[in-house]
Amino acid sequence: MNPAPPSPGRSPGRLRRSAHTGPGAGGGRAAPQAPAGRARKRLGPRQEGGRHHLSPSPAPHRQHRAPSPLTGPRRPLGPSPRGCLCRPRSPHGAGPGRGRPRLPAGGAGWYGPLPWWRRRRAGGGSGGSMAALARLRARLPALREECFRRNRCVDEDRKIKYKAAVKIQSWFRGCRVRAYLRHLNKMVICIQKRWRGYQSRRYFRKIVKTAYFIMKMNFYNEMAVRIQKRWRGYYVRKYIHNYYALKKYLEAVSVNNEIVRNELQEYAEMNEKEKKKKDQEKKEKEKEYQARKMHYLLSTEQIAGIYNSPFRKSPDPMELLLRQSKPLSHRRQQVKSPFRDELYDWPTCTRPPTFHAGESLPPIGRQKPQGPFRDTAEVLRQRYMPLEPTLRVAASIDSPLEKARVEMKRGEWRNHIHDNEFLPFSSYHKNEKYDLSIHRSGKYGQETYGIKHFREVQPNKWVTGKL
Amino acid sequence: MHQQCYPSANFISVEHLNFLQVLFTWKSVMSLLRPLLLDVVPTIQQTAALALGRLANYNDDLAEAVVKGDILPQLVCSLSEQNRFYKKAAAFVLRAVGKHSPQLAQAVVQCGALETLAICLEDFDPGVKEAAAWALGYIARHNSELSQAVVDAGAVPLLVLCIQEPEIALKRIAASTLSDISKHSPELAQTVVDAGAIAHLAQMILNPDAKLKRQVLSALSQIAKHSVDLAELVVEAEIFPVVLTCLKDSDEYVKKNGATLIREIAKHTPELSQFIVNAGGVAAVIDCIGSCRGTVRLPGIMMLGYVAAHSENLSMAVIVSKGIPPLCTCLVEEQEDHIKAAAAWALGQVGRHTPEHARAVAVANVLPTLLSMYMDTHSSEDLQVKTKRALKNILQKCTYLPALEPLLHDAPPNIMKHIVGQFSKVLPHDSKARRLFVTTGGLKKVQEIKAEPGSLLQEYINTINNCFPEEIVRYYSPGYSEILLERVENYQPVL
Repeated sequence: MNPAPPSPGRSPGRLRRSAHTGPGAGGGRAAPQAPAGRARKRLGPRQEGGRHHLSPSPAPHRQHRAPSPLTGPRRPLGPSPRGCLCRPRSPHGAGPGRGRPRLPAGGAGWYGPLPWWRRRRAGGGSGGSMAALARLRARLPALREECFRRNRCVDEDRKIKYKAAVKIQSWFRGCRVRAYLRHLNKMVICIQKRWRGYQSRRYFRKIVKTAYFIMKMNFYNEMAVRIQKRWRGYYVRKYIHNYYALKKYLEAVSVNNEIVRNELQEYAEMNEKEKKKKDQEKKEKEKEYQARKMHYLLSTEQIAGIYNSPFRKSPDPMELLLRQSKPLSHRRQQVKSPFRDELYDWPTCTRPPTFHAGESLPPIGRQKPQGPFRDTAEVLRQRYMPLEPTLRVAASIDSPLEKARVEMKRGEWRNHIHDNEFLPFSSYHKNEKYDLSIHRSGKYGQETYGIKHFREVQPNKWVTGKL
Repeated sequence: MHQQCYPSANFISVEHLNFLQVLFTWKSVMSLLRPLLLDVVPTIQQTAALALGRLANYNDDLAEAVVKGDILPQLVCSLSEQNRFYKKAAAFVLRAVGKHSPQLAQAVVQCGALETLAICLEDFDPGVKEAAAWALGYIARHNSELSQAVVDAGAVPLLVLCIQEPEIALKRIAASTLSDISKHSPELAQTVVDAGAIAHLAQMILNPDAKLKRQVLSALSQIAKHSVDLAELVVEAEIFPVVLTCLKDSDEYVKKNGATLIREIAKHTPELSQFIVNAGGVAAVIDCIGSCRGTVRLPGIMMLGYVAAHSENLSMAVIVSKGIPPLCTCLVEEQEDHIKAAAAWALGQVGRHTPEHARAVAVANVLPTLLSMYMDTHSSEDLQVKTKRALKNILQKCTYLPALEPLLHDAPPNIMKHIVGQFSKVLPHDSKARRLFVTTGGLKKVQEIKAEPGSLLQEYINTINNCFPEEIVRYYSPGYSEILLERVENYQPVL
């Protein structure tokens, strides 16, 4: 359906669209086209061209306005608009108009008052019918005139009235819509207000809870920090970097060092003394040996020895030594002491050096032997007592009879010349074959050389006997 | 007739001839000696073996000639059958050959000598045992493979039995062999320990014989040096405090080995060092250092360094035991660079922990000595490095200003920044120190230092300058007198 070119009688104008143009209506569409649906509120044109508008609306969402060819366009009764567009129309509001005046089937449209022949007769019956007819006929041109004039007036004002109606209607619709919007707005504000308030209060409660929680935690942390601070300071100062313990320890170390130094000093001194004493003893031993060796240098009554010079006040120590010593025998025995290198071969020191710092060894876990002991000599006597056997023990196990028997058997064995003693007198044994000795047996029987003959004999070489 | 065959090698002294002549002579002699080893008369065999041994003992070329002459397999085979004199002489030859170099020792091992020597260790005669143990010791001395070969021959339990014998010489040699075996690696040391050697060695520390003590202490220190567990095992044998008596022995090498043993134990963990300190070991070692001279001191110095390095408490214990003066005297007196380096290192370890420690070191007036050693061109590389590190460590903690003053004047830039840094830390808080700083000429010296702007040294100098009023800083800045005179020149007097 092409949108008809705007006729002067009507202006497609701007459409007053509202949000409530029905379910299929696309809101906000400001189509400049002048749909036929609008024809309803337009004071329809008298022209034929206006009929273009009367076809059903192309827009499917104008269903409620679609005028059917049957009913034709809707026309508001009079200039007043029939109704607001805002009013929700039922989709089949375009049904055959209820209570609309039925139009003639010719489809010419009904634009004016009912033709005279459709009107109900008003007035009298058939008597005055002729007069009435004449009256009516008289009125006819005036009627035409009147009709034309009325229509003309209407048509002249139509545009203005149409515009005015449109304005009024649009304004009213606008007001209605605005009122509705305002109402909706208010409602929506109310709802949103309540909802937002609710959400925010929830959120606020949450924030308050969190903040409270954080505050508490901070407080706890603070207190924990204080406790930990004190504890760590105490712990470190007591166990890890204990200043006083360190001081005491260092003092103890110095004291211990002093003790150790003293002991080591003593040990060194003792060693030196030992060494000196050993050297001294060695020297003395040497001297003694020399004295014993050279005993002949001792002075006698008559002759003074070399060590006993008469010009001296007292004899030389060597002289005294010579007097004391025994002459050396010829063979000098070297006795090696097996304990020469033993630990306790120290003349001055009878115990080995000990240290106070060392702790005593734990006791060896041996059972302490009990009670009073027997005299050693007795024990040894018992241990080494000689054997005093009884006669029965001393005698041998075999009885004399047995012994004699054994002796006899031995004698027989010894004196046997021949093994087979109890040979029968029969010649049972004579059928024994004589075993050849290996020495004598040759390959082809017994070797006869040495038994049967002793010389090699070759009879075929004999000279005699061949005569 | 057999009397004439006695080799007369025993009676000729080798030193009278020229060296090459000697070699030539003896190599030819060796080819004569060889058949004598197979002689019927046992005395000739023994004397021939002895002669060979003495020849091989003298020179490694001769020892090589012995090896090349295929004499060793013969010796080894006949070792098991002969009497004890022959065994002794043959073991002597093996020892003499094996002592010169690892290759010769390897040659000895390849002849299968180790098993035979191990069998000799079970002999009744102590002289044979001694000779066998000595030969094994010389072979095991060279490297760990040879030691392992000796251990694989089953010698270690026999050596531990030898140690328990009453003869002193045998004990000495057995201890020395155990020491040579266990020095190469922790596994070998563990093998020696597993044979139960530690208890016997620990008992022998008390023996009065000095040479035995040397070997025993050396063996224990070779065992203890490898790991913490071995050191703990040695300590559990209750050698402390008896070992401290060895530090007072009259024999120097006993002292040295005793100090080595204590050092090897102390270096592993702080707990072991603590134990040694508690037993009074530090005092004994300090006295030992004071009484010795020369290389004998070195293990003692290192021991103090190790103990002080572990923790500040132990370092303080060293200071309290009066350890610093002997270290300073070592540093000053000793001629050898490596001992000086060790002393410097030990001082650095003592002083590096806290300002208290650094003060104790600085008070001993040892910092200028360290500095002079660092700057000395004759010092070895090692000594310079060690003194520099020690100086750095001590200076970074030292707040004792009177000791730092003398250093300001001679120090090179890299040390100077530490010194100036320390001044910049102390001066802002101490007014008396500031006064002293000015009067001793320190401020003047600081102004004369040229530092690159933006470097750490410049920052320190700025910090120091900010502690003093501007006039005095300007007064001491170089060239101030010229500036004043210029001002005098340009001054227009007001008439």
